[in-house]
Amino acid sequence: MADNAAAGSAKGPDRQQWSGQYGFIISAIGSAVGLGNIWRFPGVAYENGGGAFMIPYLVALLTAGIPILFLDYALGHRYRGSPPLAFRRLGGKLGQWTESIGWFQVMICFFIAIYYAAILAWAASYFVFSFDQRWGDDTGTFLIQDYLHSDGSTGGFLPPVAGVLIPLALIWIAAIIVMALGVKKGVERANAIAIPVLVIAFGVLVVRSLFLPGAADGLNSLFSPDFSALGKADVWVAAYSQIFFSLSIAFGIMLTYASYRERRSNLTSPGLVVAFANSSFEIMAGLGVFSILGFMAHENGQTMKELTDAGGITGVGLSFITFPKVISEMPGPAAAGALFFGSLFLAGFTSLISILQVISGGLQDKFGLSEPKAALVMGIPVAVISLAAFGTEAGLPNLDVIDKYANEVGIVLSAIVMMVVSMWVYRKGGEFSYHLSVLSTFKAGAVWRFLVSVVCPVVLAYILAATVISSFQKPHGGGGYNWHLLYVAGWGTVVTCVVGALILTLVGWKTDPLDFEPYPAYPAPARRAPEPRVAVAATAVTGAGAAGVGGAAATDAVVGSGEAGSPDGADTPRLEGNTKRDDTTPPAGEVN
Amino acid sequence: MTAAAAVVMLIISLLVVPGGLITSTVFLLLKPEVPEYPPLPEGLDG
Repeated sequence: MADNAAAGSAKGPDRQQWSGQYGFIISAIGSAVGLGNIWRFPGVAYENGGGAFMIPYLVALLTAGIPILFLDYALGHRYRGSPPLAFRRLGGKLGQWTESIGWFQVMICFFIAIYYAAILAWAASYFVFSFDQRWGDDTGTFLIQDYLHSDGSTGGFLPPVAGVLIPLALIWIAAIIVMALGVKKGVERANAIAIPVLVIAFGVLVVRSLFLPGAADGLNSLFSPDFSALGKADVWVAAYSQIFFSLSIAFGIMLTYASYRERRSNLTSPGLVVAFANSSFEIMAGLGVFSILGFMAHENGQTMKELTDAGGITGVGLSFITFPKVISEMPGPAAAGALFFGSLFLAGFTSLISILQVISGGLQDKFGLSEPKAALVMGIPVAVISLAAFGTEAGLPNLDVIDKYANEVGIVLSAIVMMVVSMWVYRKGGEFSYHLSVLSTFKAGAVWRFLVSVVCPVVLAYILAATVISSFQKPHGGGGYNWHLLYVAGWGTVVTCVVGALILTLVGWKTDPLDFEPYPAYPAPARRAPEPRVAVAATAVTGAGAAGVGGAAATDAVVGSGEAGSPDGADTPRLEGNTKRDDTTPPAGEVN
Repeated sequence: MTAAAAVVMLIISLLVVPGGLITSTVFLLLKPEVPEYPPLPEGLDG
């Protein structure tokens, strides 16, 4: 980059970058592999058909997880921005409102970050407790009363709990330091250290657990297939939800991470590695968790059914009530506890910094802040709110309710809007397909466009509708929470995300977000040469109803002859400029 | 029978998921990071 000023005037400013492909992949894996891989997948699989669950799970991975991941990559990489900037550029001159989609994702990240850090604080505390197993025999009472000092139902802001507050403050300091160091020296370096340590530590725990007495019974119960479950809609919803929440898609993380890749970067092949690595870690967690549960049943003289019927095989219950109990019964409990809670902490910390990077990136892009300034401007308020809401006696109910609504309503809504706006409103199917394919070794063609245009929005809309209806028919928490907690902390989270997104959209940009040139040029220059005849043919295709889906490539290639980067044609002259630079461009039709 | 079915599902899971990871990693390593086309236009940041 010879001249930053010149770059800033017409080509977009220089952007932070990963050191290379490995840095991007390891950071994306660090984001995808989180608490849900360890504490959610095994229990969800067991409750939804056991071994048979793998069928809807793999279908969901291939038809929703990977396609939406690619859409995130396409948006972030083509428009080289955090969600607000990427969606602002997607909208072009007449589409300022699209920026609010990006800020909605940033707001979701804000809410998730404030409670996610609290769970890490618990994991850090339990890592220390492992060495003397101070949780005793009644691990449920220890967690709720002795450690969290919670009455379990009130919510709000109540007296602080030092045992949570101190580790939580330390975690926020560490996270802010990582953010301040930037993408390459902070985020990438943290992941490059944490992920190998996580894989080794968790791998040792899993291998050890496989040799415990009763482990075979535990694995038998997890993988025994109940094929009748495949006929139940709930099982398919559970599979799509698991994939969706596990991969860190559709709330800005993968979009932001892709924006830090070089312009000439392979996107889809690393995406496949990230997706399969995430699922591999889930399988590994399933092996470990159910081997250990099998051991617990064996020690207590129970069957696996009796053990699992008692509950506590997912989430907070699994990690902080069931596992401490079984760790106390294991040979070498200190080592087992340290490995488990250390793994939980590392998996969560790498996910936390990816969530924070979305917020930091949004502030950097909009207000022109440096990485350290953005880290402080974002980190201090977020940390204070996190400490106030979750370092207190009301931490557990607050966490449970915000987690439910931010994830199951906020992220799903974000995904649906993202896909509908990208693929149907701005009809970018062809352009994104071209962008992903021309730069990558694995092509994303018509099948990918069909999945993100039709299949994924329909499936997620069904999941969202079912969640919303269920939230009114059967309130979250089974009636154990006050109505004001559910409405203020629950629906209030969603409403705050929407209002906050609209307000942030109205704030002015430090630099013109549209002063930017997407690369590579689209439509492909060679395709554009014989304008009149092709234009008529493709317009006919558009009229025949191919819009946006399978026919999007052909349609966009021509409709976009006055459109390309935005519907108002603002990018066209620059694309002409690119046309002259390279005569080797393949026709868009070959990219599939 | 149940145990045999569980083993089969376990093997399928291991073949598809970690197998997919190995395959995609090998594919990534064997192919160049970026195809030859298109060169970065002069003046654009990397």
